[in-house]
Amino acid sequence: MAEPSDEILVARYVKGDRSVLRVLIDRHKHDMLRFLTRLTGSQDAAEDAFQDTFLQFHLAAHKFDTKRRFKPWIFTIAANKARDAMRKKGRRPALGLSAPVGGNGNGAPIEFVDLMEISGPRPDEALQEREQQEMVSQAMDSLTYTLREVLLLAYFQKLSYAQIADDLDIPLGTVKSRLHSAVASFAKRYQELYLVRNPSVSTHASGEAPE
Amino acid sequence: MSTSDRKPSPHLCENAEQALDALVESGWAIERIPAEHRDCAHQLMSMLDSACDTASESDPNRLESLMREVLERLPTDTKLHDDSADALDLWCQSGYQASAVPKSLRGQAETHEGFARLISLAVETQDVQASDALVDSTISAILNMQAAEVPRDFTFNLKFRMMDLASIAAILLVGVSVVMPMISSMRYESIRKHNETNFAVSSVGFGSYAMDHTGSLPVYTPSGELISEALSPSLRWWMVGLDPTQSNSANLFTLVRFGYASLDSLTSPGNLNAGFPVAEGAVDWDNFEQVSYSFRVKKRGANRANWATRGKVVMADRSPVTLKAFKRLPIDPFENSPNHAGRGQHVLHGDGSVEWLNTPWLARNDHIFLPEFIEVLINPSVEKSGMMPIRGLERPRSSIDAFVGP
Repeated sequence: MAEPSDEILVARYVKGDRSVLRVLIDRHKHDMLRFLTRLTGSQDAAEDAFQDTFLQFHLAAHKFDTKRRFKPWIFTIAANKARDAMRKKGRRPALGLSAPVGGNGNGAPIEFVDLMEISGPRPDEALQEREQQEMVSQAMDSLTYTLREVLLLAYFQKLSYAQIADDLDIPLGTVKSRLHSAVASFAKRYQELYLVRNPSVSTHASGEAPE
Repeated sequence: MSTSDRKPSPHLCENAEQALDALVESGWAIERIPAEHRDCAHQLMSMLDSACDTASESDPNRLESLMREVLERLPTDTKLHDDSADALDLWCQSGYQASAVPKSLRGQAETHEGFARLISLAVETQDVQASDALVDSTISAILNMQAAEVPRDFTFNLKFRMMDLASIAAILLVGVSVVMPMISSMRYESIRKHNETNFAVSSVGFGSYAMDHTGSLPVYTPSGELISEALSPSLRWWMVGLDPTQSNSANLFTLVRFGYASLDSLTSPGNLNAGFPVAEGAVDWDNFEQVSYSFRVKKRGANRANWATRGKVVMADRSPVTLKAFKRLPIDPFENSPNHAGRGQHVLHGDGSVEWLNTPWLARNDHIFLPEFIEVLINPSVEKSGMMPIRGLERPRSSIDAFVGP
């Protein structure tokens, strides 16, 4: 007999069946904690956010539309809770007033990235898995929280722009611009890490300025 | 506390963050941002302006927070190439299906898909496990929150208790409604039996006294010369314990005084105020309330009242009429003796028989607690006032007019 879906379990929870809570948590606990750890860069902050996410679930379960999928919904709650956890712990990297300003603030040219020209292993390439994951992790960690958040929600959670905008309470245009920046920054950093580990590999067209 | 002592907030508040987002989104054109964020945006701009003013007393920590937030929102040094950006947008819009992206950009979309797989893999294969302790503490936190958010269900508890109380009350009510009449009935029957016995015993006493005193009923002054003084027409026969020559109960007490009857046999258990005279050698009860039985009031002008006269009522349970008249309370001619809680009364006839009456009326329509002339006076005007004109001077109209007191 097939196990009931997440959405059915949520409906049962709303009706007062508290026994399904553990089932729901067990189904998503590892993915959720990994997602939060990747997002916050800290397992402590991730565990705080994990608890807060399911507390929020308890409070908002009655608002959940069971026609929607549960997993994206709970993961967007988790993203918000991660931000709150980061805020509480003051974990954002401090930047001094003397820190260089990004973008064209310091007059440096903007670097445009064409993903087709990024050097580095593709996921289907036979690179050592561990090394690849380390590079991805480092590239992710190099992003600001705001960019990492939107990148994970899109690339990992596969949420639409509208959903991300709605859940993060930011304009749709901001979602797009942040995601473009996030992908570009990630790709560039990933390539840099790859080239450091494989100096013999030459780059092709990365870093070209648009005409 | 000085400004410098205040611990700085490490972050912008949520409103400020939204205002900053709006500023960035509008290209730093404050007039284009939503009105609700405009004031806050003005303040943020002022803070940023103050960064250039070396003499400014702005809080450096708050300014640093603002700068950091601004930096996070500024476009990075790196941007996607137009094709990559378009492919990303189309790939997202198509539900992250590279195959749904137009062929011209499908390669770019597949590259995005590849990076997405890389990131997903990196997230999913992290050496991070949610421990059972974390799950347990999460569930525990939820249950605690649930317990806290549900207002103490006093209404439920109260309701529950009320139900319990209602059940208990119902049981008690049933119990009381069943048991109390039984107890009451048992007590009533017991008193009635006791009184009946008292009347039977007294009848022997009356008979003995009559035999010793030429067939007469007991009188306080049995000697011939004093009989005329006893119960003279001008004396009030309810003056119990005050003057035995006036008190009719002193006549009855003569049975006790001369040993024809015991005091117990003239005491009703139905009289809550029943008692014995305190003084040794007493000739009457001490007060009106102590008297349990009402004795026949002697007819005016008669020298004596005889025992063993057929149809004559000699004694009855305590009269409610004289009790109320004595206390100047309205009289109800239908009221039965208080000895039996108003259910009826015993009467001792002159022939020694004891009769139980459910009403104060004898079979011949003679009211045992009222003299005949009062009975005649029971008319609408009297009934309206509820007051019987009895003053303690009344006497039976004839030798067979039943009238007992006090």
